[in-house]
Amino acid sequence: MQMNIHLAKILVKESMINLNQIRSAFEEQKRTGKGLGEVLVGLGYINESQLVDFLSREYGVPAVNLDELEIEGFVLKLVPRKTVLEHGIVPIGYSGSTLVVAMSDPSNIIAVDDLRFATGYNIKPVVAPERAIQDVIEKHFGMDEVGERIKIERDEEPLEEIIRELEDFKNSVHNSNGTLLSQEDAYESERGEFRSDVNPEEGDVLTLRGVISKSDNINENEYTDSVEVEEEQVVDPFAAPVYSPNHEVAGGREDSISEKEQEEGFDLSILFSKEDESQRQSEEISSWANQVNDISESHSVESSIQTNGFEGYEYVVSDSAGEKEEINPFAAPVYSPNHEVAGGREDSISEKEQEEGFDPSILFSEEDEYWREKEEDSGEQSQREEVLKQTSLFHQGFNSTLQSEEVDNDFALELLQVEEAPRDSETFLRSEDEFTSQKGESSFDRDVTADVSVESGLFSPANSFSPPSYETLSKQEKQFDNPTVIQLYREVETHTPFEFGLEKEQTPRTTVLVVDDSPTIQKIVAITLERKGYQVVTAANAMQALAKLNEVVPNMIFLDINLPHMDGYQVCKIIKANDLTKDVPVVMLSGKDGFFDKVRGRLAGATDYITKPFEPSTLIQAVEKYSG
Amino acid sequence: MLVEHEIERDNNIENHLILLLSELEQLMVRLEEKKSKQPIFSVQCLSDMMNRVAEFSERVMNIDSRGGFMGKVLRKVSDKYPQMQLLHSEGNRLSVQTAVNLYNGWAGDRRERHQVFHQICVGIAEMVESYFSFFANSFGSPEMKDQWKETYAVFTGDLKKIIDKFQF
Repeated sequence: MQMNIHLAKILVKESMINLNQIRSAFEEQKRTGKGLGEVLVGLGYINESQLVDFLSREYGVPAVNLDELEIEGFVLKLVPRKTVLEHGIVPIGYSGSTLVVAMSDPSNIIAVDDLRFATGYNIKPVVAPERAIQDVIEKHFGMDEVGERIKIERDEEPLEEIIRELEDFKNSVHNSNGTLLSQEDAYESERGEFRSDVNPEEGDVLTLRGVISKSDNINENEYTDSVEVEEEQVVDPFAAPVYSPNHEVAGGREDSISEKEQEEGFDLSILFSKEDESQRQSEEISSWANQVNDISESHSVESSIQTNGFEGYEYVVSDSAGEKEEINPFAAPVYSPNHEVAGGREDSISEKEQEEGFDPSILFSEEDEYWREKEEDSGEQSQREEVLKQTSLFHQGFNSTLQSEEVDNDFALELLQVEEAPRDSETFLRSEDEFTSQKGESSFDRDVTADVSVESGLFSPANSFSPPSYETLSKQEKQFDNPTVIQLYREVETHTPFEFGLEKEQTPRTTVLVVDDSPTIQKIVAITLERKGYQVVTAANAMQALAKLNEVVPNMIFLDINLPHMDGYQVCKIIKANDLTKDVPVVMLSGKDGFFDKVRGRLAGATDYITKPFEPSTLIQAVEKYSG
Repeated sequence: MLVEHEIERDNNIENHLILLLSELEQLMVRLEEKKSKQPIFSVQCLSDMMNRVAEFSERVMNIDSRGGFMGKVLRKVSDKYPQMQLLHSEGNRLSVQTAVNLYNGWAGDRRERHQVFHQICVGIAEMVESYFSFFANSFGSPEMKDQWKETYAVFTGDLKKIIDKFQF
């Protein structure tokens, strides 16, 4: 229904239909279950080609005439039937890794995201009439299970509420004395939805314009219209917000915002409200955005989402100064040396600081504080403590097991078996899993000298040792009562690490921890990075990963989001909560290229985000970028 | 000892293979997600996987699609799994339409159906394995050859584990 409201609004805004027509269209839609566009065409309020042309311009995507298009069967099979029915889309062609999909609402990012996930292709949307899409679906995907016309599921929303919302919206548009931009901004900021940039010159551009200083006591009619954006900049949505020095930082909350501040201020929450993938995610984001907004409400931001050659969405933020800058969402916050933020909150920023600029790092300290509080409130803190406790128990249990000579012998036997076992896939997989797991765990928390002794061969059985007399012992040696320990102590004292083989290379190799439950991913990441001289340590789940981190602190971590028992976000939080590992860059790996996945990753402390499938160069670039 | 252009060729194949395996792994994730909800989807998904590998063999390994490589692989696997005769190759791509139709119209014993379609899935996995074996042997470097044989074994092992969980 949200999609319908969106369509209704842009049609009302463009005066293509009136509220009465919308009312009867919604009633008809409720009765027939058809899409709003199709109903409006059916009722004769709008012409089908007129609607498609309008949507094409509105969203900056090409229109396609499905009636004259022959779609290859192979292409149709690229998208699962369920996804086709769920979102009312039709795949019409593909080129390389890009799948072209006809849809009636190209701004439906959730559908695009699902499709990308379901097919593994980048999605290029084109617009087509709902009726034509339904015809194709019926022709190629058949009727639904009860033999009726396939209906796209829509959430029910009371008709009166929708109409009231549209009336409010219309009033806000007509009462505004501002420019078209301000009208659109009012609408956009009200709903936090995407606005199409109706500029045929720009091609594939979807723009989200967010305005901006909507205070609690300012209704839609009071939106200001002074935001003038001359240029746009392409940024990643998770980049640390960049603030223009000529923006004054307001000290109070939005109800104390001056007129000028209202003009220049911005509401970051609108960046996130569109993609309401889930209630919980939405709440998290908007809370976070409010935190950010509390601090920076006097800034104005125009945010655009551009389809970048249909490779995906890029997010554009530009401030009212019209400056352009590329922002990486996962880039580390930019700290300004001349800005000290006392107390961390905006109300403590001096006037000089306000004039000179603003240190965005405080946003993240604010954010971190907020999330800590939120975690405590929601019980996540206790969950995290429980995980840490379990991890600790796991370690303790394992350490005690390691002390058993019997287990070590078993392990040695296993190693021999692994080396001699036939290399058929089943045996290989099983033996490799066990090998990896035991090998990794075997050296876990063991006495370093014991490892050294094994590696160096100094304490092999052949290397006999006669217990020294007490008189010959040094002062330090006398504190040990075991001759073997004394021998170990002597060897450690008299040999340099190089002699022990600890440092066979002059420069330590960059170590990368790869946490992914897929052995295939572990393997191909290892191949990719080891070819470049990096050392790769792998873990298949959260427990293994945390155990490895006790063993070795890597230079960076690739962390899959979907892990057994505990997801990557939680693991990331634990890594970031540990003093030893908090500075290790974590790059999330995911099969989803979802906006919220990135936000969640960022909030969990991730440095960057890589979408699967990935090219080798992507991994290498990430390591080069972050491991230094 | 490999000459420069052979090393370059090996590296090129490897780069493409990493991307391919990464893509196939994503299909495998989908396969695992859908296994209980839409059993027949598994067969289609596996054939998608097979066809991506076939497409790769033409694009990167320069296998001539007119040579009927796919048909040969299918025949070889059919010797081991007779149920694979339900499948056929069309333009060097695997078609599972007959098998899907059979599933949809199945009126017999359910256990038998499970057996037939499980064998088909294992057969497709073995077809993928055959292609991989061919790819691995294309490397000039023995070290890379061995490493990729291991990698394929990991992948197909994982795939077969998932297939074993299907309930048709």
